[in-house]
Amino acid sequence: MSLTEGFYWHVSPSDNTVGSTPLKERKNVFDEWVTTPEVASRSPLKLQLLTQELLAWTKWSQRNLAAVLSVSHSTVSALEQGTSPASFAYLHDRLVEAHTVVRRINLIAEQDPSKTNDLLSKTSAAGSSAETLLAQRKPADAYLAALDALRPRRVEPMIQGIWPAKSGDATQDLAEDPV
Amino acid sequence: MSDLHTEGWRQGSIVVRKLTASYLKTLDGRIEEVSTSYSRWVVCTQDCDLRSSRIDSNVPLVELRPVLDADPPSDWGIRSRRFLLAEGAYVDADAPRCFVTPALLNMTSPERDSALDDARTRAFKTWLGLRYDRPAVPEHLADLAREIAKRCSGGRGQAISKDVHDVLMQFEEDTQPARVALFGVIEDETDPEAVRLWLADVATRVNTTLGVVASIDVGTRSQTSLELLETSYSADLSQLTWRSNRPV
Repeated sequence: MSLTEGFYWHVSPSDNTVGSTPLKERKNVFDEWVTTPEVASRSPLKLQLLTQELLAWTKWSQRNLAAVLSVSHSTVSALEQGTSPASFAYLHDRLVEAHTVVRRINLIAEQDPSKTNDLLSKTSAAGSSAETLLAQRKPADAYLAALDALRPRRVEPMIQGIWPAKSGDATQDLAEDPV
Repeated sequence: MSDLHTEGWRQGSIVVRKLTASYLKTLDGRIEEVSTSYSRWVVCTQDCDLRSSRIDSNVPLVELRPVLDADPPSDWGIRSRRFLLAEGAYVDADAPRCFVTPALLNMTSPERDSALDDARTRAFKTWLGLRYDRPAVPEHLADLAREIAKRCSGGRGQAISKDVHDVLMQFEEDTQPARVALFGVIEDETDPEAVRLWLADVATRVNTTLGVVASIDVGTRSQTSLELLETSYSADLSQLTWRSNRPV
């Protein structure tokens, strides 16, 4: 699990921007008797962690990541070192946006950085790569571009199943409130 | 000849009349009948069937469920085993049911209680739908499926769900975390790209400790085969978008 897992951010699909209000997530700290809300951190440490994970998952160079974040390569270097750049809040939101998408593509790519890089850099049929769309602050479009790189869009008229359900599995009511 | 609907009976009508529900059980290898009496009942039969039931019919067509009042639930419970009809009065999915003839039901018209209000009637219909036609997934994928359904239902999902007939899910279980393919089934006039983008946005909010969305496809109902329906699980957008968990 990623060290930054647990931070969930609301992505506004209307303009593909990421809001700054974390969803209410709680973490059990001491068994069941103390519950504290997750603290949304914007510390240089968190930015450093986000930056390091992005670079590790993709094998991007600092220049690649700088292009995705639309900042200079020296800013990425500062982020990676954990020093506080001037445009702190702006960078935080952009990093979270990129991290949200890249984390998922990395999991789909079986955590293989080369494969992750390929999926993010390949230009989709729509004409843009996930990297380019992340630079344009369109995370949902970026996610779709990477999925299209993995599995080209359907040309057949009918939707094709990929992993058909097996019969015989015991099932649980999806609508039921968990007991 | 009049019918039950014309006579004012509706799904959700309350009957105040002592009636008995029975079921069979085994005791020491013998079959025994267990009967329980209740004094209040709610009509569960759909309005279209009430419309087609003549009031002199002696065929047991009308389903009643007992209205209970002991230890009522604290929330409305639209997705729960117990559903609150009104303050202090609820139905329990596990309580025995009773079938009566239209003639008997109509005989109880003088004891018919005031009907549920429109909102509660709609909620009751939804609850009954969930009881009879419950979307289900393999147990080990239930948390992931619920997460996806929740993300589909919240925020923008409530607006876009009008244009989306259903969201189907298939799972690749041999990976860690599990992978999910989402299929949006849309109306003919709906923009598929807008729905793909919406599902991608949903995908970015699914907790990755539970699973990751690895494929998104969207098509109209005519592009959705019976095979796909039979081999997919439904996120059941229409029912899960209904949100009313607390008494107001």
